[in-house]
Amino acid sequence: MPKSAPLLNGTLDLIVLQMLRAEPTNGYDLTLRIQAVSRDVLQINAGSLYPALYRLEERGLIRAAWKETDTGRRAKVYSLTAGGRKHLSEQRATWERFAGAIAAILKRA
Amino acid sequence: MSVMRRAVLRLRAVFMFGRAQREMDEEMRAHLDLATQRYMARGLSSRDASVAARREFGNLTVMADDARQARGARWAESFATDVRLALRGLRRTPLFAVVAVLSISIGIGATTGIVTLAEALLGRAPAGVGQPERVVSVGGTRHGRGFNTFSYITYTDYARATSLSSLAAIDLEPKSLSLRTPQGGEAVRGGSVSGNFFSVLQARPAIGRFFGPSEDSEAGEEAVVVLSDRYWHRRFNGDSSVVGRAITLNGTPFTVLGVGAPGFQGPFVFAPDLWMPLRAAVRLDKSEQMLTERQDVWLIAIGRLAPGRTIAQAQGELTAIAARLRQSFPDESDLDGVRVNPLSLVPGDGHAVIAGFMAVLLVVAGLVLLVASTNVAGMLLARAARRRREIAMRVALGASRSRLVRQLVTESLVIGVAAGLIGLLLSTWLVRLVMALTPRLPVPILVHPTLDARVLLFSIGVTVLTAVAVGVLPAVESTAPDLVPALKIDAGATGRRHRLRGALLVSQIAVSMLLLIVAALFGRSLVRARAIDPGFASHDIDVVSLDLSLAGYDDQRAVAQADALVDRAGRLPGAQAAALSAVLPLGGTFIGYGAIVVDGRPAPQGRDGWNAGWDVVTPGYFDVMRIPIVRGRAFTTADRSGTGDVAIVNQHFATHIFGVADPVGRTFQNNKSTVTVIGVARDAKYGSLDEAPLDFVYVPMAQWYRASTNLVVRTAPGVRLAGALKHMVADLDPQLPVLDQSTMDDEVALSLFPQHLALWISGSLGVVALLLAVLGIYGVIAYSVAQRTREIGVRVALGAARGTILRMVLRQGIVLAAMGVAAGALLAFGATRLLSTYLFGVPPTDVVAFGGAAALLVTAAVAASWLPARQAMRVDPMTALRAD
Repeated sequence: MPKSAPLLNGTLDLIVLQMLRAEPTNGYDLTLRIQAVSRDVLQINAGSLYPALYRLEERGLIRAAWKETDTGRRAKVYSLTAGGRKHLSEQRATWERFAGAIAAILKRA
Repeated sequence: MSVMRRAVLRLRAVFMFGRAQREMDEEMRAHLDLATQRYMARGLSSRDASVAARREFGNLTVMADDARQARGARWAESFATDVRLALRGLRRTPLFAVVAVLSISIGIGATTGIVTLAEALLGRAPAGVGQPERVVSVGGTRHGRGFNTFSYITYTDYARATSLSSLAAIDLEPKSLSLRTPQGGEAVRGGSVSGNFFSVLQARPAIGRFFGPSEDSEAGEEAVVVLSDRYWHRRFNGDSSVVGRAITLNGTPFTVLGVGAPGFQGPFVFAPDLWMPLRAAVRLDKSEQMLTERQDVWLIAIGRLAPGRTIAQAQGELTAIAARLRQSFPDESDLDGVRVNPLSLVPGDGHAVIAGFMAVLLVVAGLVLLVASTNVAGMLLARAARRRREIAMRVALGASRSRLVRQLVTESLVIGVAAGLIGLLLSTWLVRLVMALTPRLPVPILVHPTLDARVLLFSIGVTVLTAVAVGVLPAVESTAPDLVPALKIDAGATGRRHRLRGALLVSQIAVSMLLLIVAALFGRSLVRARAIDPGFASHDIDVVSLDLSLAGYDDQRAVAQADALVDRAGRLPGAQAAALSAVLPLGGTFIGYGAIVVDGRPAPQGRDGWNAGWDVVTPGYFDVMRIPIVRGRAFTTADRSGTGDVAIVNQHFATHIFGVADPVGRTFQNNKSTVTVIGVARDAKYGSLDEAPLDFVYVPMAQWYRASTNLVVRTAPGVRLAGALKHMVADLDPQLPVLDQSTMDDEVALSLFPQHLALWISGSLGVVALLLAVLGIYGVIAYSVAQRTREIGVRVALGAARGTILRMVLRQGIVLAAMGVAAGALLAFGATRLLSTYLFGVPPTDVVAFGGAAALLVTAAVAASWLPARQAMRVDPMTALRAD
């Protein structure tokens, strides 16, 4: 199992929004998915995830609803709002510019 | 996201954090269940799966906290916790809680009460007046001062001003009238107003209609009245069939046109029972010249500003009109100047006088609030000191300073809110008390002090401000970052904190000193006023005010009736002597019968005669009042019309105007006749107790008939004849109403009412401040003794005598008190001169008041330090040294 990497400040929100854009998901599944998609590099613990979710909900970027999971357990499922969609695309553009710049700098050195 | 939405979410969090909490717990559980299910699917036992899920999940509590904070409910939740903690803390120290809450509530109650009164008198627009901010009052000035009446002619000149869309004339004081009822004459107060009065005020009738200019013109003059809603209910039980009914006032029939809206009492605090047109009023008085003579000054005016015009423009225009008229009529004093004021329930200069008086009271009440706050701040500081280990421990465990400050301030907020609620109750009680204490005034004055929104807002503001001010200093001080030493030993910030508390106490004592000095000044000026010999004996005199013209007598009949009145009153059981007198001493009114000319004694400064106060009396007056006749004789029934006019002058008149002690037999002239002096009466006080000696002249009623008079009856000690006198008057003539009833003592008290009120308020507040100071001194000294137990033990062990210890502690209290007294005396030295207009013969820096207050406070300080000092004296060195 590859070593997990520390999360860069501010990126958790971006990751959560991106994951929710694909599909509304409950908190637990979200941790699993982030882990899987990042090929186990990113392990989000519940203690960071839920505050992030509540923060995003309060900012109106995501919304929550209680739904039943496949196993019959009721869980709170989060989905992206229109505002969240817009915010995500802006943030993604910013991130890409930022990542590109870092990459360029690192290649040069 | 919008600010609105954020606010809504946060509010929801505040009110529903219980629900939010449950939902969050539920979500956490769901997470754990899902994780456990997954581990079980991988083959773990249910127990192991649950453990693994939990481990993966992390610390539940910390997480819940972080999550909550993200949710914004953290603030609300911690506030609720703080309130709970504060309540628990206060319950543990009930004495502190009660003292803190009560002392602040007294301050809040006093300030709120005074603001309520001030607002009712000065801050409110008259009820039932449309667009009151566009209404102005107009009065005359003399040498730029005052707010005086002017003549009807002058009014009509002013009414031409274009900056006013309309101007109405008012006879400021409602006049006394007699309403004929089956039970006899009943006194009513009638306002005389010009026909456009109601339209200027934009008032609406409740039923019927108002009279207008057409009913107050030469062509269409009519005997009509409009009733006030209050009188309509009192006299006619709110019966609407009263409209169109005929009533008889002073023997003349009037028709009731309508009733004013509830609450409408005209533009001022003087509330008439009914209004009648000016022309009807002068017809009733048979004084039609009041509308045509420039000398008859009896009106003020209220006007409505023309659209777009300002008060300044109206003032300018009226001043110009007065100046123009002055050139044509240089002798008319009512044209000296004119003043245009915004509408106020208290017209003219009264407004500024009352505002000044209220300001003084408010400052005094504010000082008590300050003292109470300082005291509570000191107590909180001491409490915080006792809790410093707990606080230091929490800081060490990572509590943020702002969190701790918030918690401590919450405690003072809880105290403040409780004090505010009690303070509101106290203020309504205070207002009711003041209204009840107000003596019966000669004019019916109607104010309605109520706790309205503005006053409530003031009160809430004061409460919150006080609570925060009281709490912040101790909170910040006790969570200061140097708390680490507090964890280790008993030293630390104690010294500094103690000094701070000492400073608070000194300022508190200073303010108490100021309050006590103010109370002492008012108290002493009342004692002075009481000690002033008014020149007559006011005790055991019943007074009944009458107006003989109200029964419709001619002069001949009136004089006969006057004799009958005096005769019957004098024979009532318990009565010793009776008389009639046109004015009552200290009653605040003077009458005059023109300038006095004495041959060979020219009046000063080219005036055409001497000025004197006049009174019209019946022969028994000097017996009733016990005013000695020092030369010559008193009046007798032989001094009648037809015999030569006679007068009795006072001693000052004799020496000042005649230049001799005994002018009996000499004569003077006034505009009516030549008058022979037959006696000299001893000087008395006529207008106010602190007046300089006045020239005064008494003339007999039989020669100088005056319809408006007072029946004064001297009774046996302790006997009150009020009811008997009223019956007697009704028995003599059912149509002669008793206008007013009082005692001479009441009249004297009325003249001292402002001083009584000020003494009563500053005195009770001063006592409260003194008690608070005692409490504060006791707290500080007791605390300091507790802190110094070990030191005292060491001293005793080293051989200090018990008496030395006692003196040491007492000295500490006295030094604090002395510093406060000195500061307070300095403060008072600067402040009390503002009171000089309200003081009687007492200088604002009166030594006795200052010394007395100082002595009282130092004594109180010794008393307050005595208990802790005794405690210090009994410290057992062994126990003290072993402690800790």
